[in-house]
Amino acid sequence: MATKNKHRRFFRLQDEDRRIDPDPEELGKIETKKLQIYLNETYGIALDYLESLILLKRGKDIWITNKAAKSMIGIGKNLNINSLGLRALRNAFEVPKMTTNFAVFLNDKITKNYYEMTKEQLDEFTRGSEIKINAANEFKNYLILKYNKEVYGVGIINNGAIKSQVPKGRVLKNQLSKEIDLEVEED
Amino acid sequence: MFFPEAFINKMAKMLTEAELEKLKTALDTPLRKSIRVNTLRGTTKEVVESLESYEYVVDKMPWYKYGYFIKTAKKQAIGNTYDHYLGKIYVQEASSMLPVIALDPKEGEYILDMAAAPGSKTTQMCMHMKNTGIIVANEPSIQRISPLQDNLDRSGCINCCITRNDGRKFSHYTGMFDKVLLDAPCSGEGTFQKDIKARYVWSQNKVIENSRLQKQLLDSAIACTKKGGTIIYSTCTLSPEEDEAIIDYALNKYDNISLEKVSFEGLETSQGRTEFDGKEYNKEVKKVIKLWPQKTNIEGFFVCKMKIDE
Ligand SMILES: C[S@@+](CC[C@H](N)C(=O)[O-])C[C@H]1O[C@@H](n2cnc3c(N)ncnc32)[C@H](O)[C@@H]1O
Repeated sequence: MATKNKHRRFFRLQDEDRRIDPDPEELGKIETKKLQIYLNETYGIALDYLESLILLKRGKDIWITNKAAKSMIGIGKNLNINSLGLRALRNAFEVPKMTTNFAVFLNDKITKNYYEMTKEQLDEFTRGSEIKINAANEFKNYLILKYNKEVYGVGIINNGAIKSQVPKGRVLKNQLSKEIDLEVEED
Repeated sequence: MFFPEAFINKMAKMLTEAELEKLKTALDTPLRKSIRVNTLRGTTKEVVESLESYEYVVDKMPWYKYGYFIKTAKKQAIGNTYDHYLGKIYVQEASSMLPVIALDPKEGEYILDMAAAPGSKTTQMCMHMKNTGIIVANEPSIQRISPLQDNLDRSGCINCCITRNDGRKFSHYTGMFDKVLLDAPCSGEGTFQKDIKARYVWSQNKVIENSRLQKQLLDSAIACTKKGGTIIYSTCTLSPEEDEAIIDYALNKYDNISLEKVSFEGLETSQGRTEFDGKEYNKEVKKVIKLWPQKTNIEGFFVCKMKIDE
């Protein structure tokens, strides 16, 4: 049994190794423009703001970084780049799904396609639960969830409810009083 | 509580009997919890107000405007607050914030964090740089890369490139970086206070093993820093073999480096030792600082600021 687990672990590491390929590459001008227009039309993000970010392509995903950091693509060839910048969109070339981190990063730059939650809904949403709403058809694709004008994440409409897309590792525990810290940080 | 005998014997060579007792007591006392406000995501004012609403008592560190000690009478986890969820706070030891304060990262700089995971100092540098310039966040351990990425993402960092290499590889990238942070892998004696397990895995052999690697990593840091650039060498350990002896090694090997004194307002730091166990160190080593937990009431730490001459 132990040997089997060991093998499984070995193959998982191999897969992880494979998953960090391919290397990031700068997105072409035409594709960049298309995505900028998509983000502008769907979420109201100003085009000149989007132009200040560099979009990188990695498989089906889009990552963002700043202009200076883009130079790492050339320099870093032998440096085993694991990632560059922040993952912004998954499945970017079909129905792009904005990541929670990118949505939170954009925050007040998002002016369209968002739902303003009540405090109770915020508590449900960040704990990974569905939120029942009446005006489900007002929203497009992946919508943004705000509370008190601040972005808390991304959701998708499913049977008249918003399904939380908060990643598992980020979902809050049931009560604040749970003493098991969620912290992954610290050195 | 348990302490390795060889560790206590070593500390006894550096401290008086009374000081040694104080060190033992300090290491058996729970650490004060601390957080850093991440100004990429929120202001200190709003975070303090929010934490107070969760009934935390929040106490600013005199030496760092973004660092706060927090305590609460309630049984609750800071990781369950919305401030943490949104990346407005980062749970970080008070002493772990010091190397970045000493490095003083500036907007637009090109910085290497040679041993980066889980990213406490990478995210802190990123916030000082306001997401401009580049941070190469290097970490050889694949298991530690994912918490590093998570912490960068939660903190809203976009200027970081995570690379996966042995830090010694950077010796081939001559003069590439404005600044290098080498928060070296070490025996973690400073962490004895919060992590009892660390006391059981500690051994003098590991100290010696670390010290060999630390010298090579510092060689690499010196090679890849620009002329006029800055290096911070830090550890969370107290053994001179991993601290002063590493700096002594570099001072004797290179004639293009010099040390700069660092100080932190309101923090009682100690200067570096110039001898240990019959070995004399370069007198310049006095300029480095050691944080003894019995004096500072924060985790034991070592910080050295080094400049590459123009
Ligand atoms: C003290 S921890 C770094 C903490 C980190 N700077 C922070 O503030 O969150 C030391 C790190 O060095 C890494 N390490 C070990 N050997 C290394 C090597 N040869 N080159 C670079 N890093 C190494 C370890 O995996 C560990 O993550």
